[in-house]
Parts: sequence; C-alpha cells; structure tokens
Amino acid sequence: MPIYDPHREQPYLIEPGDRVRFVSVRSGAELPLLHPLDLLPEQPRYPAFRVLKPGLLDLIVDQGRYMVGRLGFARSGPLDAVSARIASGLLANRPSDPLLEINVLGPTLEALSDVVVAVAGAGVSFMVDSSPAKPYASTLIRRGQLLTFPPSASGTRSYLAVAGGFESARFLGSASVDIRGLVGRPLQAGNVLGVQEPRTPRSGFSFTPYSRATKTLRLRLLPGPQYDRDTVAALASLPLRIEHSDRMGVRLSTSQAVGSGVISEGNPLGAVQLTADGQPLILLNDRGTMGGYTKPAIVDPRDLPRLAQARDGTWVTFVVAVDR
Amino acid sequence: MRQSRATPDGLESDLPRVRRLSQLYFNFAKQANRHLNSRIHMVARRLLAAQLPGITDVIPSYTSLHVEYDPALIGGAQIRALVLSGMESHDSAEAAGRVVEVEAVYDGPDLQKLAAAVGLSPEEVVMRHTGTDYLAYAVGFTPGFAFLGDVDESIRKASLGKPRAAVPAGSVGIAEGQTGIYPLNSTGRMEHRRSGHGAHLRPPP
Repeated sequence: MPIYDPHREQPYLIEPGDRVRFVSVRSGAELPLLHPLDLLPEQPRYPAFRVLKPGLLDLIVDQGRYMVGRLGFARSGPLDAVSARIASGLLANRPSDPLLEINVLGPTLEALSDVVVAVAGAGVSFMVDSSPAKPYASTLIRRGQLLTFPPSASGTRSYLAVAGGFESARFLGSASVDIRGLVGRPLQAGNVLGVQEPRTPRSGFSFTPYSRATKTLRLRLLPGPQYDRDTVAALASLPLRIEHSDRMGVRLSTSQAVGSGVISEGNPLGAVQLTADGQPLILLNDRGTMGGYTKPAIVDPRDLPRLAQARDGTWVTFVVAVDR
Repeated sequence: MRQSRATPDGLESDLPRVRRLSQLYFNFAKQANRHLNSRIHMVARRLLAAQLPGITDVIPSYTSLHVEYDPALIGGAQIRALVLSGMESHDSAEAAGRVVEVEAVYDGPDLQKLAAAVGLSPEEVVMRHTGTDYLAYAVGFTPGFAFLGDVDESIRKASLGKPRAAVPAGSVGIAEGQTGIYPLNSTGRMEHRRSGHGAHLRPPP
C-alpha cells in the first residue's frame, strides 16, 4: 500500500507522533503509479463552459486547504485572495464557492449555457467574442459566446467566478488544486466546467478597486520565528528585485541579511526564508509545509495579494512594521 | 450600478474582508528528543480535537509548534495558554501515538554501498534498520512524508555522494539519524537505500 494516495479514503498512513516499524518482506506487489485525483465531475450537472484551449495555468480554487498542514498538505487556494473575493462577491457567491485562478494567459472558454460571470484581478484582460469586456462587473454571457483572457500590461493573476460557483469535488475540505499533492489538475482542452447551483443574479454590478501604479512594492514585515532586530534591519536596508515568482514563493535578489539552518519546522505563510548566502524567499500558498532555514520575518498578510500580482523584475522595499 | 472605491494602502477596510491570519511560533528546545517531541504532538492533537473556531492550522515539528489562527475569532493569548499548560502536563499514555507497520523490500540500489560504508553486511544493516521503533517527529514538506527517527548509530551515514536526481515513490531513504519513505516521485535529499513495495496500517493497540 503506498504511503500516500489521494484516491484512498485515508490518503496518508503516518501522522506526526506515530511510531513506525519497518518489516522486511521478500517481495511485494509493484506500487501502483500515482496519478492526480480528479476533482472536476466527469459530467457536470449544469454545464457552463467547454475549455477549447487551456491557459498557462488555470486552477480551480476556493479559500484553500486548512488544518492539514501537519500532514504535509499545502494551503493552495488563491494567491490574491482579495481579487478572488471581489469576483465572488460581485455574484453574491459565498467565499467558499469554487472559482478559477488564471495565470498570465487565460483559457479559451465556450459558453454552453447562459451564465453570469465576474472577472477580477490584474493578471489578464477579459474578452467576449474578441471584444473587450468589463472586469470587476457581473456580466451576462450568452450560450455560444467565446471568452478569452489575453495577457495584461501588468499583474499576473485574475479570477473568473460564475454565479453559483464552479462544480468541484472537495479533498480534505477544499476544492483547491494542489499540483504537487496530486489533488486536481490545471484545466485541459476538452474539460467541461459546470455550475454548482445555477442562479441568475442581475448583471451590471460593478466594483472599481483603486490602484496606483508604483515602481516599487512596499511590503510590511512582522517578526518571524527567528526574529532578530539586526537581521530584519539588514533585510530591509536596500530595495530587492524579484528574481522568480511562482505559487510556491517569491525569490528576491541577494540581501544584506544572512540566514542559517534550523531544525526542520513549520513554514508560516508569508515567511521570509533566508539562506546563508543572503537570498530571501517569501513563502506563498504552495510552499512546502516544513523547512530548515531561518525565517527572521513574516510579510504582513495584508500585503500578500499585491505581492502575488508582482511580476519578475519588480523592486520590493521592506518596511519594518513592528519593532519588538 | 453600484460603485465603491478602496485603496490598497491605508483604506483597506473598504476591500472585501478576507482572512488575515496570524502566526504563533513556539520553540521548546535547541535539540530534539523523543520525550519532548511526543509531548508537542500530544498538545497539537489536543488543539485539533478542541476544534476551537479561529485556529486554521497546527504544525508540530522536532522542537517546535506552529499555530496559525484568525485573530478576528480567537486571541493569541488563549492559544498560548493552552499550549503552555499542555506542555506542562505529563500524560505519557496520551503522548504515545499509534503504531504503524510498514512492509519494505530491502533491495534498493544503495543498500550494498551503505553496508560497505559502515562496515556491516547488508543483512545486518536490514536487521538494524528494522530493529527500531521510529518516531514520526514531523510529517511534511510534501503530503505524507514522515521524518522518522532515530536511526541506529551503527548504520548512520551522512551521505553516499551526490543526491540522486530522481527517487521513485515508495523508496526508503536514510540520512544520518533520519529515515523516511518517499510518498511521491522526487529528488532525493536522503540517500535512497531500498525500495518499499508496500505498507500496511496496523490499528492502535
């Protein structure tokens, strides 16, 4: 029996604190090849969209997977929770209703029925039948119309919500895709997205978030597990450049601060992990739950949605928010 | 048409309310030991069983406990008090976890190399590896990966060279005092010593 299998009712065998004995056996059955657990229904009850062409990374998300970090499960869920909440809120959806996170370049979707949708976030533009459509608004889509999401001038992620929420199974309480944990998968051509409970809210509600184009991104720092005044001051002493960003974390250019190793421990969301050569990594939703590097600071959770929208090359200025 | 405005800086209360979680970090010792670690897991289990609204994740590890919570629903002081009083109590029966038995086929590509490096026969290495009850000091990094310890002193080896580029799921690795079973195909930080071809769960006694 594999040690982990998301298809099994009890997906994991070992919990922290268990005692484990190895028993030597001569031979055993070959371990089955693990493949991702599908969360999208094969035949949705209320089909809404057919995926004609997938985007770079289209992920069904809800609020994320909670209370299972001790078993090694990532939080998953939306990196820009504020934009996700706006898209759901425009349709009077619950915060827990599944929606689609679109990264940089979105899918081509064909509407299979009349549905009301809302798009929020800075990551992509929103087009209906090749004409620009309004983001941050509840919009009626007619059966047969084509939705496309070309890249936008700035930002990395947007959210597409459908009235009633997308239909998806839950795994350990959440519909959020966890690629490394083999839970769900990114949209593929031919997938049919269904609506969880069809509703027809009024279209035409809108919400305009204020955004100001800034050259640098200000991130407030709170004390982390290995807080040290001098290290945090050194970390914040110079602007740092985003070298690489993905759903696991944001890697910054080398800082003046120096980290070291610690006994493996839980990795908080937003923690600034620091290696011995001074390279900070800000840990995001898909991070490994355990790590062995010092984390002198944690990014204020209010700043994580904006960090999630920052493209590689953006300059980051840390502001020490609490000096303890 | 309804409109409202909000700024990302300063006037954040105008934005839709999303969970803004706080973190509590406890570190109880500089060095790990079984007794302390078992108590940390007991406290973690109690916190989870209490189902307090507002606690969103609990991650116990070798010497530490990380609790994530929603400060709108529960105070950090309450959690701190629960954790610290739990660590004071000495219930050894409650602290002992379940017993899990894992069947493994000791035919991995590094078994011979490890045996030679520690000066034992492969059979002796297998006997010493199976002759210990390991404690799952922590589970994590990826889903299902357990950090098991402590490996018998006589078969510890820091590294057998470069980490393997790819380690298939089900492999059992050893690195100094730790041993673990790879739940997913991954790169090997631990030395791949044998492949496990099955495991079964024994219910608690």
